[in-house]
Amino acid sequence: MQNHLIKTNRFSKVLIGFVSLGMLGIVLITIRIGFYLEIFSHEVAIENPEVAYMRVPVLIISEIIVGLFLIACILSFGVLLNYWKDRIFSKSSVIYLRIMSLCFALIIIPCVVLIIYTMQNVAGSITNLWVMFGIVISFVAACIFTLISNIVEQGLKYKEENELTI
Amino acid sequence: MSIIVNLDVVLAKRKMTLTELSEKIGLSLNNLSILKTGKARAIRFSTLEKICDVLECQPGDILEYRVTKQKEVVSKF
Repeated sequence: MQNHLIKTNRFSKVLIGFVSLGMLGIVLITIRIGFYLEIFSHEVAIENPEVAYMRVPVLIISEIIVGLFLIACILSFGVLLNYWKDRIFSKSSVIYLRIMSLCFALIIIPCVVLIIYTMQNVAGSITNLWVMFGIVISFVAACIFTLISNIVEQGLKYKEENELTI
Repeated sequence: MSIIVNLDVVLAKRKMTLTELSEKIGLSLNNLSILKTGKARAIRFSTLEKICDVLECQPGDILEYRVTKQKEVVSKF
């Protein structure tokens, strides 16, 4: 009876399928962006030769941001798979969610570095506004995933308590 | 934990195995092993009632409270 209660219903499984497809799309787009950044950096450097020296540092910072976002997206498949297999309240789910939260928190660091670096080299850059927006989004995402991981961890404790009640 | 489960002692006195007990009370052997080894966090009154019924004993025969060393030290101070 307890197993029946914690089983994921069909509607949720359909939703998991849709979300997984969406996440797969996001992962593929992110990988594409990762490769495109290199080409884009060359284009920007040719169009703006006065800031061509910034190409490599900005490219590295951007790739770090993309990489961290990609890790978070890939880990979301682990959480979705756990939910699909009716074991969302497991230690692995908590670990995945914590790492996802950490990735979003870590994104803030290269973003701040990017702002400082741009401010020191280019006056009145509008890129910083987008980066600031990215910082806010990353901070909110990190907070949300931390909360979700805490909820799952609490659920895991309740589950263990219930399982060890004879 | 300060609560000790003496199920093995009572079972030995009644010359009954854990498997027999699990069949008589309708509880899985796995769950009874958890209870016997003291890994259980809680026990339902209904389970305790079934065990006492089959083993013809009192809850106090199965469960025992022992003061832990840490608590003893605290009380001395």
